[in-house]
Order: sequence, then C-alpha cells, then structure tokens
Amino acid sequence: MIRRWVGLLMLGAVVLLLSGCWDSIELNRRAVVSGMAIDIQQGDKPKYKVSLQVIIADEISGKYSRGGAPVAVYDGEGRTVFEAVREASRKVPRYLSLGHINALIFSEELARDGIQDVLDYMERDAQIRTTSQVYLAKGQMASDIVKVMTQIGKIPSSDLAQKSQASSRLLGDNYRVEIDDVIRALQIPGGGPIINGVKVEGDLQTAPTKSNIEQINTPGILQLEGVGIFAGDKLVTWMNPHQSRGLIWISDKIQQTAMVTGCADAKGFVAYEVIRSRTQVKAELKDPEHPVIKISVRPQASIKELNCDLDVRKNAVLDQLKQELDKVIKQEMQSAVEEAKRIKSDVFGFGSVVERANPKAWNSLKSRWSDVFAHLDVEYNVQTVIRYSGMRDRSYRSQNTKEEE
Amino acid sequence: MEKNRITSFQLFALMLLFQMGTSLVVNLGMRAGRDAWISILLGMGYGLLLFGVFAFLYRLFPGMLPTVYTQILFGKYLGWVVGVVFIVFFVYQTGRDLRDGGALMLSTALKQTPLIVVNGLMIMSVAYVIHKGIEVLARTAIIFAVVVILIGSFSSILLILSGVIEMERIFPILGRGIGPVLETFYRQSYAFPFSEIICFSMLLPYLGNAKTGVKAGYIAILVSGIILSYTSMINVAVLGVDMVQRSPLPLMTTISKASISDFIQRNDILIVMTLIIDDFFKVGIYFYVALIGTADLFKIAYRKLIYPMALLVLLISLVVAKSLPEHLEEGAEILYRIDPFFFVVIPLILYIAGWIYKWRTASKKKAASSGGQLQSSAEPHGAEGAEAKQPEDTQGSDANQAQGTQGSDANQAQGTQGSDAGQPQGAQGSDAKQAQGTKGSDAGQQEDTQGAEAEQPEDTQDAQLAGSKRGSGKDQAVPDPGSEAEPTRGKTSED
Repeated sequence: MIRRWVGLLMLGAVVLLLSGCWDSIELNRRAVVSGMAIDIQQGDKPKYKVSLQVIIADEISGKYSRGGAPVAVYDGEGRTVFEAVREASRKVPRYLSLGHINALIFSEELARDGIQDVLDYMERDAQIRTTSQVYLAKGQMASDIVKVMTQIGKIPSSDLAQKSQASSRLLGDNYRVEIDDVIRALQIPGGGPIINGVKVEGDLQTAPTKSNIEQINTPGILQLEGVGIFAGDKLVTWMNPHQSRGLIWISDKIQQTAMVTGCADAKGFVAYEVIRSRTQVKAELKDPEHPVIKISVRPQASIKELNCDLDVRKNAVLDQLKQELDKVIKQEMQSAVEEAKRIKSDVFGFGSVVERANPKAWNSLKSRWSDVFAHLDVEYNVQTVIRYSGMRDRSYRSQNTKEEE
Repeated sequence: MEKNRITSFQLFALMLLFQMGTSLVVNLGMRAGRDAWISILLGMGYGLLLFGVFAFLYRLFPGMLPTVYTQILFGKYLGWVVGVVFIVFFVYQTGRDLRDGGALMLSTALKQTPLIVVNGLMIMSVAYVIHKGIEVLARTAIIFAVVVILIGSFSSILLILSGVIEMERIFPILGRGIGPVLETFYRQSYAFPFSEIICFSMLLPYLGNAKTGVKAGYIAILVSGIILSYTSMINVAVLGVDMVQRSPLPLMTTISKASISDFIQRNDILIVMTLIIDDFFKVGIYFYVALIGTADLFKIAYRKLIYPMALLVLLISLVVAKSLPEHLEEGAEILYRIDPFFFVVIPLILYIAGWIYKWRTASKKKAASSGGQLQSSAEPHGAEGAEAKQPEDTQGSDANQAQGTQGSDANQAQGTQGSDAGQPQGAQGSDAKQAQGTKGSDAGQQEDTQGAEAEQPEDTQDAQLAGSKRGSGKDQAVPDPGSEAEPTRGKTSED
C-alpha cells in the first residue's frame, strides 16, 4: 500500500519536474533587444536615458508583416542603467531580453562625462554578453543612432555591427571594440579605451522614417566616424582616420587596408592593399626610469593602382616604393602616438608591454605612468614587403613597353 | 567476498570529475593574479603527496576503510573520534558543494528558481545513484568524464579558432615574485580542490586492482591539475587578469567570448552543463563517503542512512550561508583555518602512525621467527606507538583465533583478486622476502621491490585478518568493501 502511494507521489513529482524549466520564458513573451543607446541628461531629469532597440519579429520574418518598421525604440530614464532599462518596460508588452545586444552606443556627452558608471551593469548582468560591440555617437544623441532605418540589414544594430566589421576588414581604420575590451582598457593605469565613433550622416528627421529606405539616395545614413580616445573613462578627443589607422597598426589589429603613396620621384600616386600585417611591440629598459618602446611592423602589400610610369618588375623600383610605404605607415603611427601623448593617455597599452619586460620597473613607474608616457621614446621599424603587383606589371601609360617591343 | 567493485579506470573518471567539480568554473587561485596557474600546479603537487600518504595506508591496510584503520592506529576510542570528525567534515563538505553548485546555477542561469528546488533536485538524483551503489556511480562517471572532456576540447577549439586568446596577457610570469603564488598555495590551492582527494581514501578499498588503481589515482590528480591550470591560463589569456579576479565564474564569460563568424556563439550553456555534471559527482562522492563512514562507525546499513542524510545535507546546503558572497567568503576566509587540520595534520599523523605500525609488525615478526622477544624493544615509541600498540596486541592474539575460521576465506579472496597479499598462510612464519621470491604470486609482483615494502604482505595479512575478524565478529552492517551480500541483506530487511 505504502509502495503504491510512494509510486504515485513519484509520478506526481515527475510530472511536475518534467513540465519544464522554472525560469523559462517562451519566445513569444520575449522582446529581443538588439541595440542599446545610453544618453546622459542634465538638469533635474534622472541621469541616464536608455533607448532600447527592440526587434519586431513579425516584421522581420515577413509573413505576418504589417508593413511597419522592423524595430521599435523604447526608452526609459533612471539614475542607473538598470533602473532605466526596467523603467522602459512600462512601454514594452514583453519581457525584455538583453542577451542579444549587438551594439551598445554611448553619446559623446556621456563619454566626455565618463563611462565608468554605465559599464558595471553590462559586465555584471549574466544575460548581456561581453561580445556586444561598443560605439560612440559622434556629436549626436545616442538615441538617434538606434533610430535609423537601414537599407541592407533590416535590424539597424546588426547592420551597424556588420558595417564596422566590413570596414575594419577593408579600410582598417577601426576595429571591433567589445565591452570587455573597454573594461580592460579602463584598468590600465594611465591608459584608456578607444571606441569607434558612429554618426547619422544627413537628415536626422527622415532617418527614422520609412522614406529613409525608399530612396536611392538615402537621406540619413548610419556610418562609422573616427575613433574616440579616452583618458581614464573620459572621452578626450577624436582621432582622424590616419591617426586611428596608426593606432591599429600598433595594436596589431590590421586585417586589410588601403594605402596611398607618392610615386617615388615621379608625379602621381600608387595605391596598395595591405593583405596582412604583423606588429610586435617590445619595451627596452636599459634605464628603468626611461623605457623605450620598439615597434616593428611587417606588413605585406600588393599594388592595386599605379598611376605613374614605373616598372614594378624591377626590384629596385619595388624597393623604392617600399621605402615610401614604410614612411607613410611610420608617419601614421607617429601621429597616433603624438596624439595619445598629447592627451597623456596610454591607449596602446605600452604600460603592459613595460610590465612584461620588467615587472619591477613597472611597479615604480605605474603610479606616474601617464607622465612617463607623455615623454616616452618610441622607435619604429617598418619593413613592408610588396608581394604582388596585380594582373599587370607596368601601367598602360608606361613608355618602356613600346620601346622594348 | 566479492571485491572487484570499481575498476581503475572508473576510479580515474571519478577522481577527474571530483577534482573538476566547481573548481573548474570558479576563479581558482586568482589571489595569485596571472600566476594562478602556477599555484594550481603547486596545489596539484600537494595533492599527489597526500594521495601518496593514503595510498601507503591503503597498502598497509588493504580492503579496510580509513574509519577502520584509524581505530587500529589510534586506538579504539581516539580512532573512532577521528573517524567521526572526518565524517562530520565530509557531510559539511557535501552540503557546501551542493550549495556551490546550486548558487552558481542560480546566479547565472536560473535566476527565478528557489535554491531549495535546485539543491533538492541535485541531492535527490545523487541519493538515487548512491542507492544504486558505488559501482553505478563509477560507471556513470566514465560516461560523463567523456562528455566533460569532449565539451572541454570543443570549447578550447572554439576559443582558439575565434582568436580571442591573447597569450601575452599571462605574462609576466611571477611578475610580483613568488610570494603571492605561495600565499595562494597555502590559502587556497593546496586545499581546494586537491586535498579533497582525502575522501578517496574511503573509496580505495573498493578497488579491484590495487596497483593500477593507485596509479590511476595519481594520473587523475595530474590530469585534473593540468586541466585546471590550463583553464586558469585560458581565462586570463581571454579576459585579462583583472576581470578574472573579479568574476566568481570566469569560465562563463570566457566561453561567451568564443564566437565563430557570429554563427557558433553563446556557448555558455556548455559551461553550465559542465558545472552540473562536475558538481553532481563531487556531491555524490562526498555524500557516499560520508555515508559509508557513518555506516561503519555506527554500524547501520548505509542504504538506510541515504535519505535521512540527504535531508541533512540539503538542510546544510540551505543554511550554510545566506548569500553567495557569504558562502564564498566562508570558503575563502574561514575554512582555510580549519582545512589544515584535515588536509595536513591528520594525514601526517596517520602517515607517521602507519610507519610505526609497519615497523612494529615487522620487528614483531622478526622476533617471533628468531625466538619471540620483541615487545620490549618496540615499547619506547611515543604516544602514537603506544596507541598503535594496544589494538595490535589484541589483534595479535585475535589473529591466531581467527586464522582457523577466517583463514581459508581470506585466502580465497586474496587469491582471486590478486591485489593484496595472496600468500599462503603457511609462509607467514618465514621471511617475507623469501616467500615472495619463491611463490611468485601476484602479490610478489605487485609489491614494490624495496626492502621496506617487501615485508608488506605480512603486515597486510595481519591487518586483513584483523579486519575480517572484526567483520565477522559484529554483524557487519557496513558495506564492507568486499561483501556484496551485506547490502542486499540490508535492503531486504528494509522491506
């Protein structure tokens, strides 16, 4: 008898336990947030305004589409980010699901004020992945950035993430910056993070409307715009594309990029594509008080465009071009280092290089690193290899072709 | 006297999972910063040493639970008390590890679920497996060890392919000197998780093959130490030392960084799986060890104890702390003051007592063969010697009586299992070395060939006799490692 009861009890338990996960929230009760924009507010208002870009699944999949926008933006205000996010849920009919945020956008104003207070939530929350990319809205409200209709990708945030990936591969003046990269950079004494800038170019009024994607000439287009460099957690200045590429040369994040140099002695320009590159940064501490940073870069390039009369079959000519290219790359790195020195922020992580080279010296330098950094000696060594010249060797304008034949 | 209960490979799997339980996912040894991996390796060294101590004791008293041989070594009462202290420690650790697993699950995956539900489910499944016996747990361990290793390799490949590992983050090695590493070693990493293998001393008697079993134990500690050290290195290389230090579960964040062209990503669930599997075995082994220890000390069939103890453990796991930080702080700040008692002091005393015991039995034998006046020479031997002496004396006399009744039985068992002294009784009087040389049995081949070790078969035989005498004397309720019939009898009486 007891056995039967125990058996029944067990069955009941099994039914209860197998029925599902205690915490489960079905997909149709979730609102998937694809992007988050954080603005800072002045005056009496609560400190942060968080705009959540929520995917409207029906509009994406098409079948039940009502022809509306593919995403909706809801905002909430609060003294902390979490408060603001939860506050936004007054406007959202579903459970906000933050696990799929592609892009996290800070406004420039917030960045200048300091981003320290907004990152803790991103790191602490178990849902938010640290793989989300971080952007700065250059000169605009962060909420404007999440409200742009984009042509190719339906979801603006993932469109933005794809844009930055594509441009880092093709142009190479920015690279993927994720939440944990920013947090790590904040920990470096005398250092600071770098964050890609983003901007709505054109008409801010039309950008959120459907007519933004109805024209060939997109009125408001979301695009990457420079790189913001920080001292500590505060945005100080923006790097121009040349400087930011210099920074990326140093950080060894170059995948591919396009370079242009003059034609040695002749008039005109040569364009190269850098196929791959390897950078090594070393610190030399003969005098522990005055470290010397040695950067050696080994890019491999191929000629993409040759607008002058050069015979690139000849090794001597290639050597000349290589010299030119080395000089340009070196200049880019120099200008990036000068800019960082000017604001006294070790965005390259030279501090860690020194620490690896000589932990003891680093301990004494650590506390005044930003001052040491401002007067740091940096040596550059660029050794480009021009590997290919493309489908032709000489240009069609070349004189020697005719003479030879 | 069926004794082949867990194979060496099963022991290996059990130990591997046990060592990785919770310690794989937490920020192990991060007090040492980026040199945590070194302190983990040091901890592994200590684990090997400690396992060596218990392997020595196991060879000295094969087929005996530590709760039995502490009574031989320390005397009946003190030995019993030591046994009880250990059991209490094991029960508490079961509760702690249950809480560990539950709390880590809650803080990452199941935020809404009450702790009691998660812990209750875990202890229920553990109790179920334990009810089925150690063999079932051991067989399950093999399957899950494979699963865990597959998950581990898959995650490693993912991390390598997604290019998030930056090895330069683990440099400089020993940048702050050896100090922090040593501090971490004595504060944490010698104890957690490596010293916890002391509970395998309770499982060693279940081994089928003593020699390969002990070897498997060493290998398991080595492998798990390397895995843990490697994990710590990967964590730092992916996240940077600061972030690892600040996260209770760095492996979750590390693995979430792995993403292959936005297609294979969000693999944190793999880590949650590993956490559940490893924690299951850790709780399971602690629980089993606590059970058989209690059963042996109080002479109750261990299956009767399972459910009451499960409730007790569940209760401990719930009340041990009110929050995860408090729980972790308890682990880091309080336990390290208590741990040395279990992980250093008692094993050391046991080891010394074991040597004295061994020496005494050996000299007694020598004296017995050469005329029979040894007792006086063995007398002056400090407290341990005196303690050890007492049971020995009684045992010596008992052994003779028991020999007639138990002798054949013991012989049979030893002969079939071939792990211990499979030496015929007749040879006992003569020199052990000679006996080994002539008989060429399993025992002879498997014992170490050192002079000291060579005498072991005799010691062990004495011990075995004492053990079997004990077993037959009282109605043995313990799942004496060796008797298959007992537990089943216990079960039938339950019904």
